[in-house]
Amino acid sequence: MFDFIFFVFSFVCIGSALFVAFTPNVVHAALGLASTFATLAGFYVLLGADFLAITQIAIYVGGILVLMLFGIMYTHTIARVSGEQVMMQVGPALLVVILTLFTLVATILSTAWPVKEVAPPAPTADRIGVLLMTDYLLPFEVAAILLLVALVGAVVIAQTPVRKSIEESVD
Amino acid sequence: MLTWIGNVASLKYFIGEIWLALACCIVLMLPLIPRFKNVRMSWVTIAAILFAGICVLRLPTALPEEGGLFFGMLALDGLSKFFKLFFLISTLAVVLMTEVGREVPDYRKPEFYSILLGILLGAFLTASATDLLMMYLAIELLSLGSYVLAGFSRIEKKSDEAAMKYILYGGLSTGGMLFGMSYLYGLTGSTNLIAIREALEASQIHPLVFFVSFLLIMVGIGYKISAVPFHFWAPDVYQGAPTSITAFLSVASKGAGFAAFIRIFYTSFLSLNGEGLWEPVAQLDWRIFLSILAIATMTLGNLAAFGQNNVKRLLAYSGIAHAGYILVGAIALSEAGVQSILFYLITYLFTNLAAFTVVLILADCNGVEEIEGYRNLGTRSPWLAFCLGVALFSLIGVPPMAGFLGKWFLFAAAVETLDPWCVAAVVAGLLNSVLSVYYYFRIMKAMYLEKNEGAGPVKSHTVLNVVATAMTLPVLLIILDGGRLYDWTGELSKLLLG
Repeated sequence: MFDFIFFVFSFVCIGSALFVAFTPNVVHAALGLASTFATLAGFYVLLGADFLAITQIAIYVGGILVLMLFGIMYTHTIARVSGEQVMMQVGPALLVVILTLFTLVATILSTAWPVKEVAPPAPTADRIGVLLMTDYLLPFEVAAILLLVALVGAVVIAQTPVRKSIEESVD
Repeated sequence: MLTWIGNVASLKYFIGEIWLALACCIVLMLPLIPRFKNVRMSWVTIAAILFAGICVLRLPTALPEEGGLFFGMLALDGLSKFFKLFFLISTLAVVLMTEVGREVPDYRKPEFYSILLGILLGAFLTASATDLLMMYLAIELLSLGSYVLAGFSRIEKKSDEAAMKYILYGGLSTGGMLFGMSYLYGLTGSTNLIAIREALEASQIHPLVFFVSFLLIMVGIGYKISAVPFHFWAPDVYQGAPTSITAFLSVASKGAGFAAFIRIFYTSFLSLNGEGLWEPVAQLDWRIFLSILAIATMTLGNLAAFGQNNVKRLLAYSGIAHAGYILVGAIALSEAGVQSILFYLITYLFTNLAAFTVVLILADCNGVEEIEGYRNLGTRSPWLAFCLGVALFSLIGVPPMAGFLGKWFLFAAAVETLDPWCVAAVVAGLLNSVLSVYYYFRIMKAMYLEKNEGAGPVKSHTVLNVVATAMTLPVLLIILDGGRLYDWTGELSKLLLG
């Protein structure tokens, strides 16, 4: 039963990822991405990572994707971009991709990965919470600084034209 | 097994970083208060950097009980201390260059300094992280800020292009690095670098998976140090970014890449034997791979620099070549190798900052970036021409400049091991040094031999002249007491290995 669900999820996940890559319409691509994110959450559930699954849905599907759709809505030109996709260097790219894929698959298959005993599913949120406040406190805090820098950076990149026009009007 | 130090007990060794994080917010918020609206934020930034410098200088190079801070997230050792000082000096120079330069308009400076301090914090953490999670976060903090700063002068279209290229390559390579780290985690069940080595030593691991994870992590680091074949972003980004940021990327960001390199590979992938030599764990000799990488990096960097007319681009290719030279020290796999890398980075810091300060003066105050604009600089501004000349000689490695000593120690450390691949890399390094004379001398020739009738005297700024002088003097004077400086880097080249 688990296997069956796993294959259904995998099929939907890879299928929608391919759809995102090949569809010319950005809005469709964003919706395809939603399905990829949601099925990834499904994988987390199968692995017993309940907290991660909820976070995946809340942040990626609920937050980032909605933000993306808003971004598309507010950017007039994106929706009108023609569907032409220019592909350059198809041959070499294909070669690199196939070689990389082959190496990675061969590596994963030939390695005797250490396997842990499967523990019965238990809620993980409280343990993650405790770890974030003890062993992993510093990365947790640094992530906050990282987000601050990213936020300031995003404002800096977006703000220039507005600020300039204000200055011009003042002058 | 080491004893880790808890969060609260670690704080007293973390004051410099806390202050940088605070300053990052203060610089952003202070201009919003009307009373402080006209305070120059560069003062706050410089104060933050100097205070962090005092904190770093007071840090011990090892803890009495030999442990990692924050439950094994950070190391407190000579290596982290060295790199923190390295980043502080380069950031201080960059702040001065930005403040008097005109590439960043005044009203945007608070954001600029805020992000710069965030990057500095990221660089600090990169140099001391002993956990893959922490290392990734730190590198990401460093990179994210750099993407924004590379595109900061958005009036110029080139700057947009630079930021875009930087972020696309950066996203791909950090993704690759993260994937490689996930392999390591899957093999060993730990993210702590020391625990990873212990697990690798204890188990029989197929060399293939080990090599693939090494390769993938190397993608991320190779991108930071701009090693071939991950160097494609460098020329465009160096050319398009504001010159002060170009200087920062070529010195601090590259230094952070080497800090991460030494930290990850020397802690996890090698084990130290009794004689000051490292040996690869899991019977995988990746030295061959690295020496090929080093030879390719210096050769391609030098060859590509031949046809360049834009000095910023030329210095980008020269920076690629120098990444190749430094990698020669890394393949020695000895304590002397690490020591010589640190020494070379000191010489490279002053040399490159001196060169970029002069380039900034010419680009920013005089609007000249091409070699033609450097004609007759020797009579138009003798002191600046002298500074740039000293820096170029040092980049070539001509005695008695600092670059010569740096290369000397670097190549000596590699030859000492008598490994055929190391010797091959050294031979390639020497040949490349000869090759590089050609393009560095094109600038020298323009400065001293070519006539330029129409051009007037060079406009400059006192602060920039002072920075150029302050960076040139060490390049000239290091030779006087190079031995003691080398011993000092030896003291600081100790890693926390557990």
